[in-house]
Amino acid sequence: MQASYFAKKIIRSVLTIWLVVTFTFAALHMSGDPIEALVGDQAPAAVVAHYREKFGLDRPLWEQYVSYLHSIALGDFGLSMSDQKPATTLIAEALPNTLRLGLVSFIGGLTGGVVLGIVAALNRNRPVDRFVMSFAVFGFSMPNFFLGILLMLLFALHLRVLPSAGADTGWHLILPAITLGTHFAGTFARFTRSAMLEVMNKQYMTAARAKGAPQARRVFWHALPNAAIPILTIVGLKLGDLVAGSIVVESVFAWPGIGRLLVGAVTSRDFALVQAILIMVAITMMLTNLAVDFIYTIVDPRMRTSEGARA
Amino acid sequence: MYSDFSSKKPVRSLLTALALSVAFGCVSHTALADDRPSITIAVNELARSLDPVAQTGNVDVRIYYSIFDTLIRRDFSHPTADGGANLVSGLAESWSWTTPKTFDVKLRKGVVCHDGKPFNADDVLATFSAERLWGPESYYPEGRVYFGTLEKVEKLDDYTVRFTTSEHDAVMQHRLSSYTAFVICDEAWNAFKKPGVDHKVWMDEAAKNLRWNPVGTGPYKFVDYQKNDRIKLMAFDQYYEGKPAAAALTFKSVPEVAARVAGLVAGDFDISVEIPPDQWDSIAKYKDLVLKTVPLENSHILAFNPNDPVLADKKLRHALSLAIDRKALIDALWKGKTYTPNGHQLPSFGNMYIKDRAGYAHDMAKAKKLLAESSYKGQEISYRLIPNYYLYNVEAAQIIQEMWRELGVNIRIDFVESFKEVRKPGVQIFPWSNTYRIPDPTGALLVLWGPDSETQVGHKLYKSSDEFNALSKVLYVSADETERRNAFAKMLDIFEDDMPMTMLYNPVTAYVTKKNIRWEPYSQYYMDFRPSNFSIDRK
Repeated sequence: MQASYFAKKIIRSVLTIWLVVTFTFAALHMSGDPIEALVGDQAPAAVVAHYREKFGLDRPLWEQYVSYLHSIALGDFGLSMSDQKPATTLIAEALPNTLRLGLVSFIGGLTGGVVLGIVAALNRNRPVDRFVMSFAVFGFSMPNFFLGILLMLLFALHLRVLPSAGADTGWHLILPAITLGTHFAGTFARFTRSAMLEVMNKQYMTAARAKGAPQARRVFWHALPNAAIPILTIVGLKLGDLVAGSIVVESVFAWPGIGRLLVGAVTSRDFALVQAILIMVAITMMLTNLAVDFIYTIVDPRMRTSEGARA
Repeated sequence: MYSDFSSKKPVRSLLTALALSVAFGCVSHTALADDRPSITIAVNELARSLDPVAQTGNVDVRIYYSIFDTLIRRDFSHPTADGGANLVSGLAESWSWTTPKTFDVKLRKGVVCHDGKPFNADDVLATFSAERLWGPESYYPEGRVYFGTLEKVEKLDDYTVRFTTSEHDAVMQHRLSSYTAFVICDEAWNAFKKPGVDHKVWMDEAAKNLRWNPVGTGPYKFVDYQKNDRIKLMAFDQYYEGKPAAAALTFKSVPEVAARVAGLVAGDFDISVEIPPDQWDSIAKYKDLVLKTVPLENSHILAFNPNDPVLADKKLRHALSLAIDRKALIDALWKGKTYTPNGHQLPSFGNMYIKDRAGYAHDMAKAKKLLAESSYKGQEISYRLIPNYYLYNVEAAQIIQEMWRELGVNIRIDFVESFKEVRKPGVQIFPWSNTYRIPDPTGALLVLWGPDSETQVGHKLYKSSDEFNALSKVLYVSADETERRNAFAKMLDIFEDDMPMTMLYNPVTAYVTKKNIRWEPYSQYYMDFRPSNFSIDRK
């Protein structure tokens, strides 16, 4: 793969980030008033004017926009209006919690989903397959907030065996991780099954069977690597989806991560914080996609040649 | 109950404590003696900061009420015989008007600040300095709303402070017990003062540093803040009222109602706040939980724009008001647990409360008669609101829309994003909340609808008559209670006749506590964990 291919990707990503910043800036400024969120609906005009001036919101919109672009180009994402702390500090405080929840649920969902997908593919049209696919449909179609509340009602309210909210102990991780992980597992199981069924009908699989290769070798050595490309694509997309998925789960389970930070920041129209989080999400998506592109070339050498030829 | 990694796991905690005590070879006698439990309160949202002037929202005051004291305190649990606000000694031992414009306050001795420094007149001077709170260039513009009548604050001796006002201020003692009057400790605040540096610059530095490191004199002192997770306070045993009942208070951020209820049932929390009426019946099933509801000193109202060509007709505004069945609204939305104030007033106004007023009546026949006499010709009228800005504001709008449809008025509900949008040209009717921050007309009707209010001066949504304005002056400056009361009664007549708004109801806030928690909610959002209002039954 050539350097120009990555250069193109990076330029496209920078452009994407600029669009994210611009749309967020416009949407937040058009959709509400941060000072109203800060001082309430009964505040006198003098108080409102004081805070507008303090946060530079009395300046023309284009001036605020140019000044903001200039600051982020210098690495300054601004102060959170409600906390008076740098937006990056607040993100750094919340990120470990999101990573903890995200990684546990993602790895759990990926492992469970791939295993279930393989089992379903190997037992095509049998009861096991139908059961796994029912679980998969349940997993990716059940809204997170609903599953979360159901789990909370069952395990915290009725059985009283797990805590309902917070992130204080390891036990607090279980319900939100199951909620988020079920969604991932459902999606991965379905994609893995489809990808496996497609490669299992290929000639090289027939050849492997004819050579007397045992089933485990045929599945893990011959089928899975060839089915990996569509699975990797969905893994890349879902990794980027991690923060979006965690917004709901973190709110339901009072998990103090990036998702809740974003919800609070949008509610209070905390411009600097919302923009910093969205830029972080955009960069994460961008890096994930780059990483997936790179892994494609390792998993499938044909990708290397075709990308090189195109570049 | 699940086995927890935290201190709630008794066996593991005991073993850990034992191991630590053996390891260190000594055990603090104080720690052993302090077997008070720690309390966790699940809140819908944490305070935005612990700055007692910059933040006066419901999510803020309920937390810093335990950190700071006021000079004079309102005893919410024991109102006066006529239901009025009962003021008791806080950091002030006594107070009196020594002349019509000088209000002297004798301070309590032996009070200690959270930083260990003794409380005295210097702390009061730092709190009520013109540069900080009420002067024309005060750092906090909010302070001018409450203390704009001050002219001077001076120390007579270490334990006596004199407040001088520009004119007699009939509710000075109430102001000193209310919002923005929480006393800060001067050493922590003045540590940021630098010679030759503008007060707004160094106070900005002080406010930034102290917003999450407050120093007050209250029963609990600040320990820890984790955004979107918790605020932890620790008992301040040198508190002048005595040792607080809990060793620590943790306010835990739990935005979901279901999680606040589930956590309480599961034993994770001791108190949960903001439990909406649709959950009240399910709470009743749990014998170890107690639901506590209290109507707030805040009214949900509907504002009419009398400048609008359609609503300019007073008969139409009166017809709209008369067509609202407030009891039906209260029964449907609040399970009958609240009331509609009889005018822009509350019983907590005490001597100023006009008990026998009829207030805003419901009379559909009269409403229909007035509508027929009005100039209304079936035009569509806009009812603008920010969805869910106030609890049940959408449901209330839909019910009222039907009541007005029965009257014969055509209403369109418009959803908008902010109050700036609500008050944009074309505004006709909108819901608003009116808080009675001081139990007196000057702290409610005049602040929100008076001649100098934002409604009249800024938004120009009401223009009061000369008579109303003259009477408002009497309310501000007169020291004669009868004269003030008569003036207020007349003002309410004028205000209700002008009909720039109609009253709906006072919303209810609900708390659920464990049965062993002896704590009572107040009609304001303050959560009081002082020994006089909070104890824990350990049986």
